[in-house]
Amino acid sequence: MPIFASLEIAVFMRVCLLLVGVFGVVLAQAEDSSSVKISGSDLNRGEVRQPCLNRDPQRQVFFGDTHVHTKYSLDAGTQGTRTSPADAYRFARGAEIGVQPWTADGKALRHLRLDRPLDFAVVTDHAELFGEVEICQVPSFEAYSSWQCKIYREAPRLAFFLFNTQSSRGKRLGMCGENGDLCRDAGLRPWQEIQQAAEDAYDRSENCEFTSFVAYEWTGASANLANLHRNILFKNKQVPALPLSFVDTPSAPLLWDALDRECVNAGTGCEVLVIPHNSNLSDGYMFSLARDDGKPISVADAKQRARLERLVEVMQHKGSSECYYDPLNSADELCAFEQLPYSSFSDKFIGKILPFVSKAPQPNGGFIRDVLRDGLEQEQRLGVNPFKLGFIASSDTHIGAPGAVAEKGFLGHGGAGVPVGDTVPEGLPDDLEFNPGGLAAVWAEENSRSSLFEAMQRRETYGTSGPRISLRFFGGDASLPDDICERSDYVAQGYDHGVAMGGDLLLDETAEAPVFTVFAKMDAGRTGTPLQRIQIIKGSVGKEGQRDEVVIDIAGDTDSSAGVDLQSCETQGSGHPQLCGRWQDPQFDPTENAYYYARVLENPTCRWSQQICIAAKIDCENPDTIKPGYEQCCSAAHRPVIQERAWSSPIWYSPSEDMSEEVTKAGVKNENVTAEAQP
Amino acid sequence: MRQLVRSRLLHFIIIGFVLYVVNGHVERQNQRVLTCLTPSQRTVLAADWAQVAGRAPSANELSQLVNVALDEQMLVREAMLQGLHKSDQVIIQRLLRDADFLGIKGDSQDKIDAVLAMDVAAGDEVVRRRLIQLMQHESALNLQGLSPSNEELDTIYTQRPDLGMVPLRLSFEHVYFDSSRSNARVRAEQMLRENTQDSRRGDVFLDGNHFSNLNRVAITSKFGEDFSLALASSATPIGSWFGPLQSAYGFHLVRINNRNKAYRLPLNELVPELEEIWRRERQAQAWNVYVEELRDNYKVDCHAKI
Repeated sequence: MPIFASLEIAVFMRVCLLLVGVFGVVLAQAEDSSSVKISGSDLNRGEVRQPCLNRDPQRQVFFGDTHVHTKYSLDAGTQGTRTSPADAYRFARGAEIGVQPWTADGKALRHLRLDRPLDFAVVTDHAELFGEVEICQVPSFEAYSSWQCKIYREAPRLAFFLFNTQSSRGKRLGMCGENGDLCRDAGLRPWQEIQQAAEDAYDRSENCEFTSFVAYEWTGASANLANLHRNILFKNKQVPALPLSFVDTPSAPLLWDALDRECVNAGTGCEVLVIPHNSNLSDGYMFSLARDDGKPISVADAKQRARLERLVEVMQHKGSSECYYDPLNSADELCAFEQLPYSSFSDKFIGKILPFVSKAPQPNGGFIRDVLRDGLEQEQRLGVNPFKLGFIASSDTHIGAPGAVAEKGFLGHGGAGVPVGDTVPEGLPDDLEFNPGGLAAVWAEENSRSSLFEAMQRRETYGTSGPRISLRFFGGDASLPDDICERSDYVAQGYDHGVAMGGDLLLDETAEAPVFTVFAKMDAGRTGTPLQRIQIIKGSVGKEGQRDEVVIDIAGDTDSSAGVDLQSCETQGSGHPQLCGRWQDPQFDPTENAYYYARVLENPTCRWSQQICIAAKIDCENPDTIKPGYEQCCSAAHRPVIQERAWSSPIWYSPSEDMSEEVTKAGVKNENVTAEAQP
Repeated sequence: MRQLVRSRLLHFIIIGFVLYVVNGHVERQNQRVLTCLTPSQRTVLAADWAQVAGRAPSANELSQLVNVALDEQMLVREAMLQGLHKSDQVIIQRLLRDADFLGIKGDSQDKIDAVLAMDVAAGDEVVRRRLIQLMQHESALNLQGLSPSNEELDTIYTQRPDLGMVPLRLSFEHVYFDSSRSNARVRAEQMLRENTQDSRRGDVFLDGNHFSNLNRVAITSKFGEDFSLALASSATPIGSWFGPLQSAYGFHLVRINNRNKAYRLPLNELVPELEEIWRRERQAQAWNVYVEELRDNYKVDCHAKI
């Protein structure tokens, strides 16, 4: 290309870019003015959309995935992920995507399609839209033999964290303008594409078949590199001009302040939820009780936290965060479910080089049951519970495949993998301790942004480890009918005499012990694995600070004979298509703070890894059958069987009389079902 | 005027300018050279591919991999000749991070100069990706303002019959009989015979008894495939009770209250989607043409013949 032509073209392109930008702003303003016009409509809850035909005042459950990475997340991109945000949404709605590895002429060697579409999905690419270290892969490079690079080649993730925390701990790098504006502007384009993809995917028609949200992931780490990651999810298309990344806001309190400044109080109609994940990898730092300056959190801090952080991922691709399991001391054996064998990512990679240095998970490592009890303690101290966390689960897929959470046919969410077809597979498609992840379930009137977001805000949500189990959970007083499980108006009775999951028990002074009811229905859509039992988990903190925990079976078979044949993965024994229970707490102490949540278990099935090991005809008794890549099928760490499950958001009890007032003031009172729902 | 034309100063200026332009052009042309891959680089490419694909690449596949690597080298070089790395803030910040990682001291400009002198930019995967992304973006911008003809839209509409398909949707109610209780089927048949359908007289179904505007997939998710298929293929008139249909949960008496048949949206309602498909295809074509042309501008051609 001649020099002038290329110069002219470059100038021309920039003029075009400018024009496109100006045009975009004009268009956006035109759109805003139309939204103002229509926002008075009650039917549409302030949204520019058609009213939903399928609307149920007693609420229906919608399944989705709120944690999805596409090619814009560099850790996905460097693993060969080519799925764009728009592709990810198409996948969530039932379309097929290509999955790495790719042939040189751009054809995918593997493909993936959901067995049924999701109701909603949220693309959450890392806000730090660039950042992984690649320089260590170039042998001519000076730093190639440095110790950082040696670690990188052995353990890329560790170096990633080292590198990123070092550069982000320092001042904002120069040349970015006075406030770093220039650098942030450069991130605009991917952010705009992410917003556009969410807008295009959102079904604003009367069919209300699919909802998307604009979101991103804040990829923070503590000083010791423990995981502090949080997903930032916006209610509508009013979002900050740029995602607030860990570079801009290098601590969680700074993030919350910035979100308040640039979203909540910006006067644009912006609303936001912050969803922490993988507290199992946080080494206890995710739900810290200290401020950045080391002092204990204040009432204002607790209120801000409780207002913004209303949900937590109880389980995902990188393990379960529900509860800590110690084989020798834990009474609740079900806590062993998908527990990672290390306490932070640094330990994962150190473990590969120096196994004896790697730290195993710790009882105080940030597991949610303990965090919830920390919250109760803080409520006793401050009058506000900063950790009032409802539950969801998600995938954290890094191949842009929201909702690909089936154990069967798992392709790995990290990108590394083997092709299907006539080529011989060379091993497990993901690290043994990882899993396909779970789903977020939301009880909402309809499948629209406002309805789903409001449900997430009032924590009327639950998480599942993959199956679409239906789960209702109500708590109230003895007026919840004895025969509620037999009544066809179960749901109406539940809302009438109690509060739904995520709410606060409002017992009057004369009330006896609280009553709870749980109703669960198996997922008929996939394998139809029946349910085994329903449990209620109670955590409490007494007046003198004594912490207690009990797990109670309230329905189903505690001594079920159901099992699974490890050689064929066929399930045996009977189970329940539906289960319902009503339970009154016999140890209730009205002076204690407490939380209660429900856990529903399916009958045992084969874990994804076992299914692949069997398909590869691995017989651990016969060493000749253990092909390269499949050694872990026979390792001591391999757990061949799982019990898929669902976890409801908790219902809280607080003895303090003015608590409900406090909560209302913070604008977070869990509403009972709206007036229209009353029968 | 004539004096001016004869002026030696002017002649010098013109000659100087021509030399400047020619020299610049030649210099740039001289930089438009590709470095062919060494055998060891080809081995690395093959090994990387084998690592993700689970098998060694065929000779043809290896040739393609080599061509892709050469194209990437060419595009990165071209982007840097156009100076894209000097104006893009993502790259600048990236280079600053590289400099910090290497412990280079000085102000921002010193750091940038130092890493550029070390040829870090072209070796940094992030910078390379970003440069190619910028070139693709500029290539796509060339198509702004173009729009497809009606014939082109019509062709896409015909070629992609899946576009705009609106599935069958049913609104229905049911009475449920739990098969874990006795006589579920008999109780259902009896209620149908006596024509006393009332969901309160059936067993409790957690998802409720009334469903509105559900497609097949949603019905399958709530009731299982057998029930969903039986319901969708039923020819019973709207408003009449029928059954019992079996599901994963038991037996159901069903009444369909509304049936919206499957249909395909007409072309004019799909124009935005069709235009988007057209635009993506054109962008891909334009990019391929650009890369082809660029190959001709580069001196050493080590692309493999495929």
